[in-house]
Amino acid sequence: MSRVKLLAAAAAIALLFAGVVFGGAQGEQKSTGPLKLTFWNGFTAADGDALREIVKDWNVQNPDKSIEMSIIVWSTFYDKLAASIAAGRGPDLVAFHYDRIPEYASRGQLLALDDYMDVLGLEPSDFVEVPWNGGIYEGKRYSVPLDWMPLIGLYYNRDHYTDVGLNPDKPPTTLDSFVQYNQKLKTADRWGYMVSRATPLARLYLTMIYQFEGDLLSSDNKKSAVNTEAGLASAQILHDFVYKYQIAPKDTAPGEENTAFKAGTLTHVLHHLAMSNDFKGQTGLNLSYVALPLFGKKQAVYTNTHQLSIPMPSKVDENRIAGTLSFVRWLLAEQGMAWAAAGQLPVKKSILESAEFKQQFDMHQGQIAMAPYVFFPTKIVKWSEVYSRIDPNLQALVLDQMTPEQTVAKMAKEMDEILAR
Amino acid sequence: VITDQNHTQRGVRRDPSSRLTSGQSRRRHFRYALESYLFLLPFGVPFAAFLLFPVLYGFFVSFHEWDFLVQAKPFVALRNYAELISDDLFLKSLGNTVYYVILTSPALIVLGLLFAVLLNTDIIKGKGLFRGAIFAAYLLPVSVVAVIWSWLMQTRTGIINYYLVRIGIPAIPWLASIEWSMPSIAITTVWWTVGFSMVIFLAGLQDIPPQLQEAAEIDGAGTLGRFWWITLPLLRPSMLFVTVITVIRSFQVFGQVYIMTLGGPSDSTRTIVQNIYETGFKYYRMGSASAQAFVLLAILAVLTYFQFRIGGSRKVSL
Repeated sequence: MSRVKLLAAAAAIALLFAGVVFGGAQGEQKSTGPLKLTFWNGFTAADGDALREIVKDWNVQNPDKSIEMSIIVWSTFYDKLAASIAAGRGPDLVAFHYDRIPEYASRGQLLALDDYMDVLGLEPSDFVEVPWNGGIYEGKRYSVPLDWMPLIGLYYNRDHYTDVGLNPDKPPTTLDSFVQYNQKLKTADRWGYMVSRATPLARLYLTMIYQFEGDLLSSDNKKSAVNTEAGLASAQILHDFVYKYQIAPKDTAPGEENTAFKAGTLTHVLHHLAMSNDFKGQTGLNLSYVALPLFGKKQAVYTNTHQLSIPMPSKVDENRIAGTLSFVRWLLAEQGMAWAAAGQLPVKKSILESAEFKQQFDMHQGQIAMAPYVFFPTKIVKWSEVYSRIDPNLQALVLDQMTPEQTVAKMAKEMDEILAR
Repeated sequence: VITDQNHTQRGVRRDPSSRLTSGQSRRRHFRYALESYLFLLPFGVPFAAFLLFPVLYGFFVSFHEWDFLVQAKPFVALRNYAELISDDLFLKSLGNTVYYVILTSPALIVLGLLFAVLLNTDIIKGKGLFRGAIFAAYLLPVSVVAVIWSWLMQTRTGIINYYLVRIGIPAIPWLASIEWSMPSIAITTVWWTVGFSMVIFLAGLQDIPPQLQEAAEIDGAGTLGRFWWITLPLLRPSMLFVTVITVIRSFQVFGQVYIMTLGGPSDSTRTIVQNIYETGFKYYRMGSASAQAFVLLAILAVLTYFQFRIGGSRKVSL
């Protein structure tokens, strides 16, 4: 190759790179012809498989507005979503968690659906009220619910119950019975319960606060409300599990309770229903999932919902929005049962109350039992950051690095700093 | 020395044009330079686009209150930097990271060197197998390493404690206690990346002329003497490279921690990069995240400068 050719080639490569880097953006999407709609969510488990089948059906029936679904693991989903919206290339539809609506809506990144409710054509009274209203933030509707899920319930190993003479059809329902059962179940190489170090820890704590008729935040959402009777009583119970009743070890590794439960060296796990997909894969594990025992004064359970929302497009294209909403209507009005198979509670009353649903999904019984007293978190923009300060403080509490009093005081201080910023 | 260098440079530059007029010479020189720059473009453009520009842009961002989903991005001068001084979580993350660097860097250098020296001699049979085995771990993605080790290190269900207990040692709360969690992550990292430093040291060792070792042997140097007086000094370039890279990488630790402990228990393994990531991407405070990144950059720049001062300049006299 001559030097000139080589140079030309080098320059061409360089230009190509430059093109990739500096060009590329801002492709205008045309709304004529068949639509290709993008749908992002984080359903990476069995729920994703169920949704893939649902979307496949839709695409067969609606080749003119086909859905292209991307499943991104929840832990990176929100970063990618934020980055794509910032770049003006957000998807047409997302499914995400109720508690993230404020952080996007407050930044003007979600399309308000109030003007589109006629296009959507769903009858609000067909849906369970609390998750349905979950889509409203500061007077505007930004989303509609796909499902709802109490985030913590009680798994137990039925065979362990039989081993120690407990009735496997009578799981504990109160703090006292939970403690007694676990004292009875504990042997040299088996624990009744382990206080989780990971995800369920904050969910359990919040649930207990709600059960003690408290809340994470003050009524005006400006201050934390953990340094209160409810916050302290909940922290005290966690500490007591390990040090007073000694029904749980203090040094549980992250996720260890799930491994131990599957290995048959742990009887109880407090986790959400989605975990059952993992547990059911373990052969010989004879398990049940029921409502969380009452640890506080009145029943309550920290609950979330997956909501369907339209990220603010850089240019509003009514055809795309109408196409997206027709998929949403179909999904909610007609595919409720198919989605329930993935492990969440359906939002449509007729399905939730149907005998077919109740018979088909025995694992759902725990969720159904908790449905009357679900508790949805307060909607605030800084929810994730405030929430992130629960775990570190409770971990120190369970390790006995801090007393329950010190724990709630420090947690409150850190949350207040975040809220004041 | 300085005049010499200048002289030579000028000589080179003048050389291709020595028989031409000054006009021709300038044109020829310009073409020569243009060619060089064109050849640099394929590297230069991606470098500028993906490294230089983002770094400079990040510096710009660090002086603003920068929410990437909000149009308004007010200039706040040094406020992001000033706030870090009283940001407990940032300071704790920085302290944890320094602790992690102290735990991992010396171990990676010493063990890497030890493996390299052992696997460069003829004492060990099946050298290729060992070299391959030690380096193979380095090829695994961080997610695989972290997930496997977090299972191995579980307090009651992990296999490490299972065997410890069997031989009569009490179970260690590897990832469960504040004292052990960072050392556990350090152990995982050393296992994972020691192959890298070993390979660099091996290459360095094989560059050492055998005559030098022989000459020293004839002069009566023992094994240790030869290692101390011949091997180590001649490994200086490899040592510098491994030290600089190891320290920088250790300061940037993220994946293992995020997967194995998520920074817990009680923030005891929260590192600076995790703090930057969460501040920026989760809590939309890109300005503060950029400021934190530049504090990290400053620390690394100073450390690297001293590493080059200490490790790089001295000549080995043969």
